[in-house]
Amino acid sequence: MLITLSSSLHKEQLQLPFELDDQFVQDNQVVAVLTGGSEALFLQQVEQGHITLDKPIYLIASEQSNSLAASCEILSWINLHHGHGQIRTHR
Amino acid sequence: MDRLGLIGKPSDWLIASHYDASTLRERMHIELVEIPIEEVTSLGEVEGGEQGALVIYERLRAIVDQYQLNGLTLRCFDLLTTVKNTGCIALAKLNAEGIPAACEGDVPTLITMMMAKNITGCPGFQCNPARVNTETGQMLWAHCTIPYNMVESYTLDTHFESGIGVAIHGELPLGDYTLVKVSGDLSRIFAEDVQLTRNQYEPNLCRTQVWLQTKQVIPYLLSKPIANHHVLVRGHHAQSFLKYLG
Repeated sequence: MLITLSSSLHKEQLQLPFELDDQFVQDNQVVAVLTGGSEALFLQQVEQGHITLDKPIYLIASEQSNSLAASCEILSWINLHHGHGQIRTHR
Repeated sequence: MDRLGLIGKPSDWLIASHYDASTLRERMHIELVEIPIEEVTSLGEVEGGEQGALVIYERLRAIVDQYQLNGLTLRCFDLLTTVKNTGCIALAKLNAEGIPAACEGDVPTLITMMMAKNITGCPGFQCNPARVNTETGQMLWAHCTIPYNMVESYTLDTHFESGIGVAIHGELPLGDYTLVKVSGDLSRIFAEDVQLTRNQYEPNLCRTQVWLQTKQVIPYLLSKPIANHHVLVRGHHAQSFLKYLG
């Protein structure tokens, strides 16, 4: 499962930082955090049941648009709520 | 007792940057003073360049005096749509004057900046992680404001996300620094001595951009970070930070 998040704070052209393996996406919760300001959108996905804290969450971060910054805030929230996750910055 | 102003609430995206006011009062003798953002946004639209940014500084300076603050954090993105300028210059000046001043209503980062002042006597650069090189340990950190007395030179630019107002591209001296962050309930602290190896200036990033040579920062950040913002302080002080909370 792949969920892509981006906020209206950023107007830049956005894309996934690297190609994701199909099997990896099929088997896992993968969230591409494309921009800063996506953090509240992540919480919405959790509240709507699209993301569960019962399974690991893989956050995909790029080198632009405060993507890594937002990923850190989200991962910190996951850890505070006893979930498991990690940030991936390359394939 | 240090009085720290929270001007407006923490920004909506700071979902893991909570704080415990009673713990801050008991362990760090810090009193948080909540101040409505309207005390700044009531300025209305100001001039869009440096002149308008200085009007925001004067208003914040007046708030510091009125509420007898030792530091503050500002929900600065609210200014973009109301005052039509940024708090970047105001925070840069306040920090240089010895008033720790953080962006986005981020209380844990402000607490970390207060610790930096208490331990080193120097201001801290509040910054975002922007890029990592997991093979070399090099990391890029960036933000749109920086204390004026931390830079060798600077130029003014627009604020990154909004493209309006005034932000600061600063060039920092190369050499020894400490990267540090404390959680808002004081239960966690991260501090590492690092090297600042290069300044850069690219679009699509916050305007002040520095590369750090790190050891443990990257694995920490990719697995158990203390939220987003961290603070960069001149000199190697990691051990002093780690001992500070006992």
